[in-house]
Amino acid sequence: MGISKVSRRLGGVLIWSAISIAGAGILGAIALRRDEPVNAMWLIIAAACVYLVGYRFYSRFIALTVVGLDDRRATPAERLEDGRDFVPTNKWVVLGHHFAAIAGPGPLVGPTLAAQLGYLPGTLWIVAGAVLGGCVQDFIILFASIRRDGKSLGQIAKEEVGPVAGYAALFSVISILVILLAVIALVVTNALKGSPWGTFTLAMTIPIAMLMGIYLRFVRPGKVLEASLMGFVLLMAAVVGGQLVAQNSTLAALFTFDARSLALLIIGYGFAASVLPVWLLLAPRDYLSTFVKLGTIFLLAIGILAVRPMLAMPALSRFVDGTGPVFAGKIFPFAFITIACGAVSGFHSLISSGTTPKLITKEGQARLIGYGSMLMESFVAIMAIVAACVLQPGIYFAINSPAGIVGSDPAAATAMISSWGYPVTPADMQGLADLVGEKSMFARTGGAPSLAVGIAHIFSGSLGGQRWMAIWYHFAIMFEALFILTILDAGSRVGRFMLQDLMGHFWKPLGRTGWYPSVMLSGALIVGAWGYFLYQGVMDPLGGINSLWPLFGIANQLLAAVALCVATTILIKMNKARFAWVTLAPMLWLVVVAQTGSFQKMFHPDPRVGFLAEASHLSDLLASGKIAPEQVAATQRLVFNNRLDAAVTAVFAVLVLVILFDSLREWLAILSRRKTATLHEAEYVVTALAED
Amino acid sequence: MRRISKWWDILKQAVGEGDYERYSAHLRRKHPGRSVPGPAEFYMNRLKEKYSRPTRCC
Repeated sequence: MGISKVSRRLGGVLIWSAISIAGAGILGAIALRRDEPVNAMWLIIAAACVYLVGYRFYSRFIALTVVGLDDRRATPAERLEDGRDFVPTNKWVVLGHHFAAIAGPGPLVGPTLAAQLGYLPGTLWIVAGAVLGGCVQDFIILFASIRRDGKSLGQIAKEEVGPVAGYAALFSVISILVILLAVIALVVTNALKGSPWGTFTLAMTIPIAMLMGIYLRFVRPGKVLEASLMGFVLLMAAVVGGQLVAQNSTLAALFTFDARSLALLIIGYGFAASVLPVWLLLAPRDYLSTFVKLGTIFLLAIGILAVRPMLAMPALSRFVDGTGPVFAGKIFPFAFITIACGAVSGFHSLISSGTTPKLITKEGQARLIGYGSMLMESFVAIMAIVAACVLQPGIYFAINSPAGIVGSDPAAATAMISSWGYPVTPADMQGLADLVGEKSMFARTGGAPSLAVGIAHIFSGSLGGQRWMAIWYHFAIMFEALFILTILDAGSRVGRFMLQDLMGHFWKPLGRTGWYPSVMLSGALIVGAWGYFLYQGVMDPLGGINSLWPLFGIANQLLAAVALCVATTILIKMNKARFAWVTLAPMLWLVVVAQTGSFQKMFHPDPRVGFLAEASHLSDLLASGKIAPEQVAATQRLVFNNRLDAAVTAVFAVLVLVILFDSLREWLAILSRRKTATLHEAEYVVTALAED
Repeated sequence: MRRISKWWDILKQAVGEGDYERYSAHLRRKHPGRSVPGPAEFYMNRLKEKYSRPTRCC
C-alpha cells in the first residue's frame, strides 16, 4: 500500500468519524437540553449525518455481506430487455422515478400530525426507523424482485413463504388501499372546506389535465415535457386566479362547500376518474403532480436552508401523555403508527417489486435506488416536521384540533388551547386567516393546512415576504391536493383491477377488464368502500383523522411486516440466517407496534382511543335518552361506524399474526432441516454489459 | 454545451420521451418481421399498462 493510499484511507476514517460523532452528538444534545430554543438546522444536520453514516456503512454491509449484490449477474432489464417494461436505464433516472413513486402525502401528513407530541419523538423515529427499517425493507425487496425477474411482492410471498402469506399479502394490499384512499381524501376535504380559493384551484386542475391529455394524444403524442410546461403555467394561473374568485362574492359562493358536499363531490369524481380512459385525466395529471411535487420538495429544502427557522414547538409537548387533540394515544405505540411513511412504509414494497426492478442495469445499483430513495423520503418527513414545528404551538393546535374537542367558538377554542400552555388568541387566528386568504383557520384538521402554513411561512421568509403568504399558502394546498387526487385516481383504478382479478376467480366475465358491467361494478365497489370511510370521517364529531389515520398507519405497518417476513424468509433460504436480524429486528418492532396499536384502538377504555369504548359510551347515551331526537339517527350511525372500525382493526391484527406464523413455520422447517430451502431465483446469467 | 445537452437528454429520457424511439428501434433490431405501432398507439398502450399496477405510493 502506497503512502497516498494510506493517507486517503486515514482521511476517510477521520471524515466518517467526524460525521458519526456530529450526528450522534447533535441528536444527544437536542434530546438532553430541552429548554433552550433550537434552530431547525440542527435537526437537518443531525438527520443528514445519520443518513450519511447509514448509507455509507449499513447499506454497504447489507449490499456486500447480507444479500451479496453481484454486478456480474445480469439483471432482468438486461436478460429480458423488450424495449418497453424491461429496459436498462440510467441509475439516476431510475432513482428519480423510484423516489417520485414512493414519496406521496404520507411523509408530509404523518409527521405534521405527530408534531403534537413535540419535535423530538417524530424526528428520532423518522431517522432511526428509516435507516434501520424502511430503507432496509425497500432495498431487500428490490433486491429480491431483481433476482426474480421483477415479480411483485404478492408473487414472491406466494413462492417463497407459501400460499397463505401470498393471499394475506393480496388481501392486505386491497384493504390498505381502501383505508389509504379514504384518509387522504379526508385530508383534501378538510383542506378545501369553506375555501373557495383552494376549491377553485383544484377544480381547475381537471380541465387543465384534460387539455394536456388531448395534446399528448392528438397533437404531439408523448411529448411530456412541453405538455407539462403548458400545464404548469395554467396551474399557476389557477392558483393566482383563485384569489380573484375568493374576492368576488358571486364566484366565491359557487366554489364554497361544506365538508359533506365536498366529500360527496370527491367520491363522485373518484368514480368518474376510475372509469375514464387514463390518457384523458389520470396520466396528464400524474405528470403535472409529479413535477410540482419534486419541485416543491426541492424548493422546501432550499427554503429551510435559506431561512434557517427556529423551532417554536417544544421538544416534548404535554401531549406525550396521550391526551393530544390531534390524535389520542401515547407515544408508544401511536407515534410509530402516525408516522409510517418517512420511517417505514409497507406500501413501498409494492413499488420496489413493481416497475423499478425492471429498469435496473446492475445489481449494485439497488443500494442507491432502494436504500437511497428511502433516505430521501425520510428527509422529506424531517422537513415536514420542521414545517409544523416552526409554527407557534398555539397556532398549530388551533389549526389541527377538531371542533369536537375545542368547540367551534373562536374565543372558547383559543382559551382552551391557551390553557394547555400554548397561548393563542382569536386575533392571532384571524390575522393568520387574513394573511393566507381564508375565512377561518380553526379546526382545519388533517395536517395539510398547517403544513401549508408552515411551507408558506418558510417560502415567504426567503421569497416575497408576507405579501406573498396567501399565494404560497394556496400553492402549497394545491400541491398537496393535486397529488392526493392523483393517488385517488390511480389507487381506485388499481384497486378496481385487483378486485376484478379476485372476482374473476368466482365468475370469469367479472375478471375481464374490458367488460363494461364488470368495470362499473368493481369501480363502484372500490370507490364505495373508501367513500364510505371518507363520509364516516367527515361526519365524525372528533374529526375523523383521529380514527382513520391510525387505521391507515396500522395497515401500512402490517404491509411492512409482510414485506419484512418475506425478506427474512429469503435471507434464511439464502443460508444467511446469521444475518436475519437485519430484517427480523425491524419486523418484530413493527409487529409489536402494530399489535399494541390495534389492541388499544379496539379495547382502550378511553373513548377517544378505543373504538369499542366510544361505541358503548354512545350507546349508553342513547339508552339513557340524553341524545336529542334529531341526533338519534346520527348517533346510531356513529355507534355502528365505531364497531366497524374495531372490526377492521381486528382483521388487520389477525392478518399480521397469520403471516407471522406462516413464515415462522417455514423458517423453523428450514432451520431444522426438515425442509430443504428452495430459492425461486431466476437463473444466473453473466452480464454482457460493460463495467461502468 | 455538451454537458447541458447530456442533461437535457437525461431529462427527456426520465420523462419517457425517448420511449417510442427506443421501442421501435428495439423491434426493428430484434424482431424485423413485426409491424411497428405508431407513436400515438404506442403512447396509449403504455399508459394503459402503467396505470394497471401500483405506480404511486402514499
